[in-house]
Amino acid sequence: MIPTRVLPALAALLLLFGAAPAAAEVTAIATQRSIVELRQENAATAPGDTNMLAFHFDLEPGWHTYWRNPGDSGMEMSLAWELPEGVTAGDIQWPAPERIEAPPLMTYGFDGMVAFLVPVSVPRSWPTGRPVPVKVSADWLVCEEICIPEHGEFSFEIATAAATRKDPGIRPLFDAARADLPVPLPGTAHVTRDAEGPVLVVSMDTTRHYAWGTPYFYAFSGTAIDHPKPQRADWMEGGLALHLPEGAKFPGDGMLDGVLDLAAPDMPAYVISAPVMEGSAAVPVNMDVPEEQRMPGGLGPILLAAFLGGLILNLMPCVFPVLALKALDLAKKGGQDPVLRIRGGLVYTLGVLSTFLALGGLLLWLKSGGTALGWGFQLQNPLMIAGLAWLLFGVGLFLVDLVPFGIGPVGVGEELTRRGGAVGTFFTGALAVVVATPCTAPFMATALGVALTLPAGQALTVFAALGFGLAFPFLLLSVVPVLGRILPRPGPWMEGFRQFLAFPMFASVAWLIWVLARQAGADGVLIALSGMVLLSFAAWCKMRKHGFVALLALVGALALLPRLHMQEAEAATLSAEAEPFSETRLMEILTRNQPALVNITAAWCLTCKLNEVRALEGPEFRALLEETGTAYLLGDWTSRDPELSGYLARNGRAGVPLYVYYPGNGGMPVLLDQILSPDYLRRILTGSEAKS
Amino acid sequence: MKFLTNLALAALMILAAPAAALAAPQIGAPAPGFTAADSNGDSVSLSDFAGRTVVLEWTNDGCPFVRKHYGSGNMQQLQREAADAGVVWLSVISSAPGKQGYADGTRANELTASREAAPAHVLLDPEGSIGRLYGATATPHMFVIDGNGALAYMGAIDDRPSPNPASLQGARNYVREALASLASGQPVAEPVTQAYGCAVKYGG
Repeated sequence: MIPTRVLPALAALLLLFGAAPAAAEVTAIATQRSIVELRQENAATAPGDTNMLAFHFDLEPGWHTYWRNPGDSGMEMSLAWELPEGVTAGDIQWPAPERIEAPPLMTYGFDGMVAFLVPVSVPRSWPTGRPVPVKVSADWLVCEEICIPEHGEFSFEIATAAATRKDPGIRPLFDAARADLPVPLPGTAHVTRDAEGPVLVVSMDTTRHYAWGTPYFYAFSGTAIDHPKPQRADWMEGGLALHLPEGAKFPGDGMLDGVLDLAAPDMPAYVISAPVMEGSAAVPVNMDVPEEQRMPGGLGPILLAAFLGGLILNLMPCVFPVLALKALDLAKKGGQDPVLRIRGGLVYTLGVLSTFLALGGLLLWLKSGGTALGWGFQLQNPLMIAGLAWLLFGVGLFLVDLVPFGIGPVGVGEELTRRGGAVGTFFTGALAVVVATPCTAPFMATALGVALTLPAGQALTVFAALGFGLAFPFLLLSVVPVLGRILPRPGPWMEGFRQFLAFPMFASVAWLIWVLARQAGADGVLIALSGMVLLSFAAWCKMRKHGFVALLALVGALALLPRLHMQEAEAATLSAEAEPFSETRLMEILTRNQPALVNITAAWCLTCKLNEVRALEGPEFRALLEETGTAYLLGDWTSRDPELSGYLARNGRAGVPLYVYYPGNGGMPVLLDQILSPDYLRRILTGSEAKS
Repeated sequence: MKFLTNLALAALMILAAPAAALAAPQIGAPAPGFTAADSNGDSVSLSDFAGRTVVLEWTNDGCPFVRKHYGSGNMQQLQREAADAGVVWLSVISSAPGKQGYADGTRANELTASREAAPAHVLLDPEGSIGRLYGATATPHMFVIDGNGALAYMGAIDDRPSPNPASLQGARNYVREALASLASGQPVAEPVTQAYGCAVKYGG
């Protein structure tokens, strides 16, 4: 694409062009969808020299034209030349294309403005001063929703002179067009194969690319790769491995040719000609990443991390109140039938597991459809936040005995969790998972990040391990009766404790409303709070035996939900020292060799908030930034944001918080721990802690 | 752990692949079966034609690339040759309602009559399910299924990715080649090519 800065120059050229058209020349074809102009780089060309021509496209918004491999459909531009004897035209020099998605199809092409360069050589024998007549018949296809073939017969002359003279006015156009051309790869590439399929292994200095763009390989052949499928990149020191979705005819041996776009700002695309080494041992890239984090095979440690992460989740403030309720329940039934207790533990585990697997499966499914998401996606929707707030509010009302048993649909949540039977236990497990989302435990983030890069089967195993960790303490309590004795004896105190537990619930509600304010603004808060008024009114009516009015109030509350809309995200409440995160901004800072600390956070992420209060705010933190000259960039993932999701994924994470420190000297970025302390942060930023 | 793995696998099977994705049929593997209504309202299954060679042709009458082949009579001629050789020719319309090329049965029959086309059936696939099953990306996109029900060819109709009728001169017709190879018991020389044309107008 031609950057906007050359637009004025182009406009000037258009004027020139309009002012002095040569008699029989046709150098522009305009249709309702595109304007194609033919431009010459040289004002005059010496015999024996080459003149670069440009077919400059200006496409109407929504319309696009195609690359040399158009992808799933479409057609590239073709040229038929009429040239005098000895004059030759080369091939079209294609710029790196863009992906044009029309699910389930994907095409490769260009929109807006683009120039295709073609060199034309004038033979040495050509009489100097005599113009070279050129005719070229061009066919190209433009598509929006529908496709229209377009055609142009260009005819013009190439002026000749003793010495080649460039046309200074046209230079910006040609400079920009050349800047868009792919360049030779400063490294080597080959194709190998792992369990999933072909892998393009590129060895090159990735210091400037690391974790920037979403790399994509455009094959020259239309049948080599499956165009719409995502290509997963594993970055490593000294290169990257790009997993290519195999097309109908992947070259079994020989070469895989195409263009690799690293999608890093201001970086060119690279021409790739990679020998395919099927079956032969992969030539390993110099990899600094531990084996188990890189590829499937080392699943064991990841599962262990997931299990530990789940285990620690039990202690997190978001899960604790729900579990306390369950503990009460268990204490009450302390003397009961052990079979019943064990069954309860198993059913609870099943509830946790199936909810984790369902959420994990949903996430994988949405991601496979191309949506940029991460863990916590379920809280990025104001409907979900409001629903969760109401549910916890209802549970709270119930705990303080303001709600009688079974008040219709809204009662379902707490009723289900309260029910003594298997169903209730199952839903306590489910609720524990849902309320656990805002909290990220140590070990958990890494496991989830890796899970999302694994094939679905293995990924779900990781989700299951997380769930198993979360469920484990209760399972243990219910299975080993000796442990049950450490629970306090049942007694009248339980009533009081149960009522007390309503207050953590109400606290969670307060916090959810605050999250909602960030997602859906003051209007959203009004809707959510009105819903709560209606909910409590319904509860009261029900107590007074006005069932019908209660039902009306409930319906009224539910009718409010669709009015909740995502609002343009308010700028995150930035502390004075933070500036909003963008990859472009980060790139700017790093090219200045300034160190940078990136914090990706979300309002609904409790772990993030605790870290911010503890280590990322206040005079001490400010002083640390000043002292080390570190820029602090803050990205807010409270609502969906594909750019941030992509950034998280490239750092091997599926969710927030994410803290990355970029040392100013161009060294490898450091992923910080999920739980920050001021000391730890100081060690990282002052470089007194070696990279982890 | 075994239990967990099984549980994970079970969950995986329930979730399966997202409906929107395109399948990727394999040459030599059994061609995916389907049942669809044809333009006369009759139900047509691939299995109805067991033992016979079947051609699937994705079409969209508004697409310039399709028009090249129908406007010149090229497609109709190929359809007649196929019919004469006992090959079952199924034209498939996967355009969603409201999109270019969508046709109900009446419109599809009108098109067949006005173009003097000779398919055995025109299959109506407004939901795009057969198209997605076969990974049909373009119109025309061609598939040839041999008498054993295995996929023998998929890709373009010929080697001239152009909407210009002049390009038909001297074109190498891959479908004709594949049918000839199958008839003589030879392997198909070019079983996979890149389809060209307009994108199949699937619904959202």
